[in-house]
Amino acid sequence: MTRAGRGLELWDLSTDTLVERLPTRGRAVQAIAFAPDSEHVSVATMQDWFVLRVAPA
Amino acid sequence: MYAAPVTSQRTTPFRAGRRLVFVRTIGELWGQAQRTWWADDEPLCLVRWNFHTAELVRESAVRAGESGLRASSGGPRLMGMGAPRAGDGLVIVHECGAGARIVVTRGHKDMSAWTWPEEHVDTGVITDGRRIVLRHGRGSRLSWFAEGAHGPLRPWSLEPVRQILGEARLHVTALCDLGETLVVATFDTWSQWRWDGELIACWRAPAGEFSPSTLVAWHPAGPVVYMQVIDPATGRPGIGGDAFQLVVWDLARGAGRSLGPAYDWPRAAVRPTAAGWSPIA
Repeated sequence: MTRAGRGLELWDLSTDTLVERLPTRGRAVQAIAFAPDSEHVSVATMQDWFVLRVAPA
Repeated sequence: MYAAPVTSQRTTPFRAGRRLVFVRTIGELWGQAQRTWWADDEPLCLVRWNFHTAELVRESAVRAGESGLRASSGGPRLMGMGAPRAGDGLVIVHECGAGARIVVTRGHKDMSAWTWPEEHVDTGVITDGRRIVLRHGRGSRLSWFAEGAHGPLRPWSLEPVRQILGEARLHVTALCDLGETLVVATFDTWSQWRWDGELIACWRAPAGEFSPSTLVAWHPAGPVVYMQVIDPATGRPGIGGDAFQLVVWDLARGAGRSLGPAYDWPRAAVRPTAAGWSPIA
């Protein structure tokens, strides 16, 4: 889950737990989508497009 | 619009995660990303740039140094854009002297266009590649074009929702492409439809009295994540727009729980697990 320019956050909605927060220091995320495999995430910021992966706990 | 993959220092903050692990750079974006999604196990991105041009890019094209699928008004402002999940087409709506013009592009060619009287306000666009659904006008009406937009804009009636839920404010606030189905958010309702116009289910949205809840992410099997205006003094739903909170809403139970404050306009995606993703238009 992202909050534009404030950070990129991973939440566990089964427990409402904030699993991880990346302070992205103004790098506003414009769009985000999980892959069908539920692991990879496409992230587009104002300037860059990249892929993240949700690692097991 | 994009450049070949580079190691950008701008992505440094995204490389520090332990659970969110950086995998790879796809490219540099020189426009504003409107949506990203996955098709055939590769990411796609719909980008607006130069005020009047939209481009749909996929990772394989970026790596091959190829351009994406582009559509341009040639000058007038874009009012909206959309693309089917397959990524084989692109739809733009732009201002024109007569009102608005929709252009459907496939395979690097403008396949069709249609012009109709319209106010020059932003337009929500989603499509499954056959039907194009629009949220448009100052009244946030819901309409659709048949495949290719070769004919006139047709109204999409929300009357079935009113018949089930009773009196409700039905001006459309968002459209959500769920793949096989779509979600229409209005001030007071959320409804799920087949692309051919058949209503599947509807719910009363947890709207405030003065402002609608803003959908942030929709998972076909639940939950829904939305943003709500709150009174910063009390933390309760309010007006003014000084503060927001993110709420996770269980459609089956009709109950929500707050995830705390929201800043700016959050973007989100719910992990699909066994279902699809859900961009909001």
